Amino acid sequence: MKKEEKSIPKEEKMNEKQWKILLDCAQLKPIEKIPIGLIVDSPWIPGFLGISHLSFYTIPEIWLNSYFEIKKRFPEVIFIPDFWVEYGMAQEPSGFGAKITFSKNSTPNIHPIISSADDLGEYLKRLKAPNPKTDGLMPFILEFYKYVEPKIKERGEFIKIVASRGPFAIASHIMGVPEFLVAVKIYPEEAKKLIDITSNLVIDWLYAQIEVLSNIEGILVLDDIVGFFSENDFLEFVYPSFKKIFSYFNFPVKIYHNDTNNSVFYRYLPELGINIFNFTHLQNIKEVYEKTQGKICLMGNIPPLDILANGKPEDVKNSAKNILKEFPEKKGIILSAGGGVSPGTPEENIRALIERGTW
Amino acid sequence: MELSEIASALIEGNRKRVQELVSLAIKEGVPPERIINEGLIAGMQVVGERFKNNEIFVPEVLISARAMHAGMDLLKPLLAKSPGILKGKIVIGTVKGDLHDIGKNLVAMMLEGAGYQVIDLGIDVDAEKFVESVKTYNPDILGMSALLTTTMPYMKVTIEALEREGLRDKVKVIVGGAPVTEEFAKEIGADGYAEDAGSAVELVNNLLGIKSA
Repeated sequence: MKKEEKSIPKEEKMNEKQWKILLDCAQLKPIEKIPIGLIVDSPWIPGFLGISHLSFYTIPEIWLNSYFEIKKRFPEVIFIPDFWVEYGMAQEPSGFGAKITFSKNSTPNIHPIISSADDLGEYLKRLKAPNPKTDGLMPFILEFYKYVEPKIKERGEFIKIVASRGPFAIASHIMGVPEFLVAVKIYPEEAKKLIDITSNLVIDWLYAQIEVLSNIEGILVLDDIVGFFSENDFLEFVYPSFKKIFSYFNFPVKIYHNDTNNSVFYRYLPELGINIFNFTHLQNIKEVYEKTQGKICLMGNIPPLDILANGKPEDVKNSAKNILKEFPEKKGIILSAGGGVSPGTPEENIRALIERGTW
Repeated sequence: MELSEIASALIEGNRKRVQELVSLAIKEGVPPERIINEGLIAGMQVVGERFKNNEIFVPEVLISARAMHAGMDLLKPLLAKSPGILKGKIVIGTVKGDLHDIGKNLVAMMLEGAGYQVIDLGIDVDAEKFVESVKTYNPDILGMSALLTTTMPYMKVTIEALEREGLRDKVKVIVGGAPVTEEFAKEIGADGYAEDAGSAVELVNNLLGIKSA
């Protein structure tokens, strides 16, 4: 290990350092400098680098060089989950047989399989739970990871986090959001069966990625659909599913992303085992801190579109300043967007965020 | 029977009960406009208000809207004989390349609940289809929704298509969706922008000079 470290140029060891920072944040240890963390993936990267989505998705060298390029441009930023092989929202629903339409310059569209909540019962009778190693686009991703991981390691970097869309996001792609939400109210037992299947897929999918990669110590689950639920529905439908998923993995970093403007579930996040939460800019960070009882690291919450994508660098700095003014601790915070990085976010605004990242 | 019973069943999202009560009201000879105004619209107004106040959430709104549609389906044949009872006609759709429908559906439901006739073109709607629907239905309002920053520019494409066809002055265009802003709406030449489904009703009322309930 020592020999290896010697041969790696200093600037390329950032990933290891960043992982340590992320661990400190997740464990709520005091931090000297405010970490900047951004969730970046295919909605932003291809457009930012001026390449097509299709080539980003399909050509490993283009994908690799894209990640190397953004990491070179922003060495101060902790990208989350960092090297992430994905096809937008398509990989998990594709395992169920959802039709995926790819476009040259945008993320793919996913076509629901069930058109009405009334059909869910019948669908469940014939549904065979997907196997991420063989079904849909997921095996392609696993092979992609196997191919790129050694090349990433050659650069002194590691893939530390694997990601999955959450069970409710997946279910909503199978049925369409409105029909899934109707099913939750009208056919709760059938909805629970579907959620059970999608929850198991999330676990199996994360596990399949962990199996093909060698340094995984964290998970990221992204599920905005939870934001449509009342507190009662959260407790009935979401809590058991999330408890199962987040307690399945014994890792030091467990990140949950949900940037909808609904805070009824915030207080349950610490007991679910989540230790980093990426939330919306529409919530005040101090109130989110209070609702999560200061027990989890908060990752946010610059407005991703109005400020980070469409604002001026000065707006970004002011927004960051206000967030830091509101936040009561010098630990448990990662300065980020209130959501993923939006398409069109320019370099100078990310640079402004980095520059403002001091107490 | 009391028409408020229809409103109550609708608020509960009880589709079957709404169907039964609307059928009964029709059978008893209650004029359809009274069934709509005092039953369905009255119920949806309560639902809209509770949603706005965060007392209920999207799933509850959706099942109420589902119940409302079931009631409206029974009334549609009667409405054809007296179309004047609706406040106005709205064509709505999610723009081309975008398959998201939750926001568009909520707006459609709220507008229906407020007494408008809504023609929902669905998702992934191209400019030609919007133009055709304006020619076919002659709506008061054309509403476009987008959830993606990559698809929202298509709203401008549609407005330009309306201009080319000489239809722009015949219909008010409103836009909405998570990435859409008031500034963007102005930039592309839309007549209005609404931040959420509740505000969409107020916006449409204002554009058509109708007093909000």
